Amino acid sequence: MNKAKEILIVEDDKDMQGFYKEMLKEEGYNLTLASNGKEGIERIKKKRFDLVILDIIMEEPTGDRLFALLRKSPMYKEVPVIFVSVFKKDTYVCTKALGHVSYLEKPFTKEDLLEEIRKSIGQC
Amino acid sequence: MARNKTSGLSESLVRYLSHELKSPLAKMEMSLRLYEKAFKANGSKDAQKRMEVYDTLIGSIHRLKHNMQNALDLFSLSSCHTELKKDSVILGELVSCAIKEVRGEAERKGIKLVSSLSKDIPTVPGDSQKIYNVLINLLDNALKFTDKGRVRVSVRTLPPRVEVSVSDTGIGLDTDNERISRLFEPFTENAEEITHPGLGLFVCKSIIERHGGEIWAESKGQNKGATIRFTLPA
Repeated sequence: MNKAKEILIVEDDKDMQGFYKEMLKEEGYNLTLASNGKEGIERIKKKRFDLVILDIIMEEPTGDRLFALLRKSPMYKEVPVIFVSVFKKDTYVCTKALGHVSYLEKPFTKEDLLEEIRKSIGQC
Repeated sequence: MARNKTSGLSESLVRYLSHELKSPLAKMEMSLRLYEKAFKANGSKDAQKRMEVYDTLIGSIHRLKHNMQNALDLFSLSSCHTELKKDSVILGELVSCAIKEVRGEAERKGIKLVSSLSKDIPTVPGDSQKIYNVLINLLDNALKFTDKGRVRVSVRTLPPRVEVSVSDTGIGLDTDNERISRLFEPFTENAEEITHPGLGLFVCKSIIERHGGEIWAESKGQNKGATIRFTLPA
């Protein structure tokens, strides 16, 4: 039996955290939630996740700064990342500058989220 | 220097307001979508009522979202310091996203939603978020004034421009050119006139003209549908 994929979700909004838990509760993933960028950094230091879902607009470090840190780490150089924001993808210069990343615009449905996760983890 | 500072403040304010207003709306919509099945579950006596409540809530969220975006765009465009972004806009992608966003409303009304994109459409320089809002406004209007039939979005190249049109089979427009051009004004001067075209088309005109394009409406008359076209420099 395959080991369940480990997903780290960095999201500062409690309601959004609840949506993630509800949407993914029966999908066979192991979820770890971090409530801000600092907590996200602590989590990624401890183990390697298969996928990181990053809210962009948070207290420092913001999602895009955390992403830049991830890509500097040899352990996370290739780990897929999904950015999440209420803004459209084109709003973010960082997503253009840093190459291909997946992007989910809020509001999204469970189906949207699962599709992005499957596409991202499939890229590993 | 002062100009840049003012411009930065204005853009930051729009960005801040945009995030703070969009976030709770996004959560409201996500809550509803997550429990859509529970809302619409059959088998109880109030199933029909719950379905209507669900549709009303989703429809109201969308309307609020569009009106808010229009207000933010107007605020942003009315600032003489605000410069438009110069993305390489892929119109085909924007059209697909816009159709996806309004598909629920079209299905609810039983209206067919189609798109027709000619080959080799060049990218256009512009602010993709604002051009997207133009498409949403036009689709929203077309669906609002159409009770049966279809709404079509077409994109074609007319060098050195690209033309986008949204046509419908709805209630149509008066053929009086002066009245048609007033559609793009925010409010009429006659305060006693109850109906007004709202802000949507005025926002569209402001955005398209700031991009160096043109926008106009066409119709063969009442109950004969309407088409709104806009062009953008490629």
